[in-house]
Amino acid sequence: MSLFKEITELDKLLHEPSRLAIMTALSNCESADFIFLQRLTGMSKGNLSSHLSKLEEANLVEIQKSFVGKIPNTNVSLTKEGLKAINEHWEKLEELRNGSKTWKPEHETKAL
Amino acid sequence: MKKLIYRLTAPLILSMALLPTILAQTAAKGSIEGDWLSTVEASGIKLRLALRVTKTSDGTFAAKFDSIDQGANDLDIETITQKDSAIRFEAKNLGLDYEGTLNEKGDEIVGQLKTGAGSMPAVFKRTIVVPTLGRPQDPKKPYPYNEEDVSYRNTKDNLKLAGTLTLPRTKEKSPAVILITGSGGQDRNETVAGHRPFLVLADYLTRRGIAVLRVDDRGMGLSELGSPTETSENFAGDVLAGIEYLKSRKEINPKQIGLIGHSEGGMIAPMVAVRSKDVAFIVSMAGLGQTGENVLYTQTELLQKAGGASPEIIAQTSAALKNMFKILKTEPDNKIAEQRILEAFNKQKSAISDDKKKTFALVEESLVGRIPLFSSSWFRYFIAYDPYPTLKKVKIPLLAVNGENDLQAPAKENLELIAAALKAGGNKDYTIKSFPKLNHLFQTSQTGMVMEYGEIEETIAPEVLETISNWILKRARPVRVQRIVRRLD
Repeated sequence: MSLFKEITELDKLLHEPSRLAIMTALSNCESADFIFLQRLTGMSKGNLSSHLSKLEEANLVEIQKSFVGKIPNTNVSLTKEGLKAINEHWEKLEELRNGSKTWKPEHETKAL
Repeated sequence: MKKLIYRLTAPLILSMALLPTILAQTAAKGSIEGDWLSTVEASGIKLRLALRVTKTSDGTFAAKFDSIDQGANDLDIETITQKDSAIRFEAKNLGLDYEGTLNEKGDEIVGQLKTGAGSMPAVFKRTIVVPTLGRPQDPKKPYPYNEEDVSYRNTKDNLKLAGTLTLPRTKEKSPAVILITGSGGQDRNETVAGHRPFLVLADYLTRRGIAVLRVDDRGMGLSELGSPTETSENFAGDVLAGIEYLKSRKEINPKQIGLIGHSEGGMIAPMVAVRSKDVAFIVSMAGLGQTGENVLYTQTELLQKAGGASPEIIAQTSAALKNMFKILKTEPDNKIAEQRILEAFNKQKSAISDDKKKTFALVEESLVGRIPLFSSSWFRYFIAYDPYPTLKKVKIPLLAVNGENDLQAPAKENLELIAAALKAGGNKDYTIKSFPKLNHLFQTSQTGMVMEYGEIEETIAPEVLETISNWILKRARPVRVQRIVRRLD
């Protein structure tokens, strides 16, 4: 498969900018609360909430609601699968980027 | 059926057995170290062969061999020698023997290649890049779904089976299928001629929300070896064990577990369905409607015809096979059966005219060599098996697909019988679909011959993947709970 075809086939669920930001942030911490994620990404409540729902539905993140005293608190963390998926996604991006640096159109002409 | 057919009528020019490398003495001048490429013609089909020669630490040569278009790579060459310009290499188990002369420039070897199928001229030219077969449908990691190595036991036959489970990324319980391979030892991807049909199929289905379990056959990959007395019945038991395993997984909807069987696997799926209430649907890909015996008669004739055999050879083979199978179906003792088969062949020989005896000798030789395989429990069970009564009992939804260029499980004969059995049994939801141009592996093909499998880049025609996936998803929708927009703050 050509490098460029592979790029077009990147996992859309992970590669969407907002979700990529959320997943990448979460991959560097055990868990994060909603407000913290909102500050990090600069996303609106509704927008962040909707992206987190999609990620939760795909079982990539876990969402826990609790109370800290009387204040409701929403805590988000990656699932085992989520951590694996985001790490592999970045590795793939690096691999594709490195491949593209040495790629020349001549490479596509067949050896025979 | 694939493996079986290789043995029956269309042996690969190069069998894929691997041999230990034995190093050879080397000569100093104009070294053959490097990569070489040759295109040879065998029964009208062009095959690209690559020879990759390396120098070992003690100054001798070692070599690997690829039959590129057959998807057979990294075959070991036992001995390779160079005496000045005389080049020779040999791989006994592959039936390969090459002698040639290196030119002065050192970039071309002209010589003769001897194979099991005869001798042919072969010119090897130096090459910088050894071409690889395009397999454009092979998925690239990372996948947008989860993949897990799994294993479980068939407790009845007491052996461990190992496979790969691919799971859609969802919190809901997914529908699932188990893929069942065709005849012969197959790995979980059903690897054949450089193609991995079950990898491609599993990838396609899992991306669309269907979990897929694909399993190494007994004695292949990480699955444990079975017994010499096993038959398709035992393989049905392996599938039942797979169903139990899937039922134990929280990600799977236990009410939506289906089976997809290819070739002999398409014969096994209904056997499993009548033994288990847990099977929700069946997809039969080039599965059998004909009896095992009849499918072998038809395919032998079709493959021989396609291979350009004379009507005489075809008639003689057919008569000889009928003699053989008749004996094997009634005589359980292998020794006596063999004796009776040889007698039957002699009788057949004495009844034909002298000028035809020569062709019969060829037929006889190839069939006698197969007596050990034909006497196995698996084979005896297979030729006597009639799928009709079992199919008649199948009341769950069934999709049967077949390619019209299929020479191994011919579309018309098999689909008609499958449909007839389901109709007679009162099955209310079955779909029969035949695809023009597709061969036994569901590749878009010219002739349908086994030799073509490796040359074709397509692994499974997209229309077949789509048909199967859509059909399943109409009957086993992934459970989607009504999406409630949750306020998370």
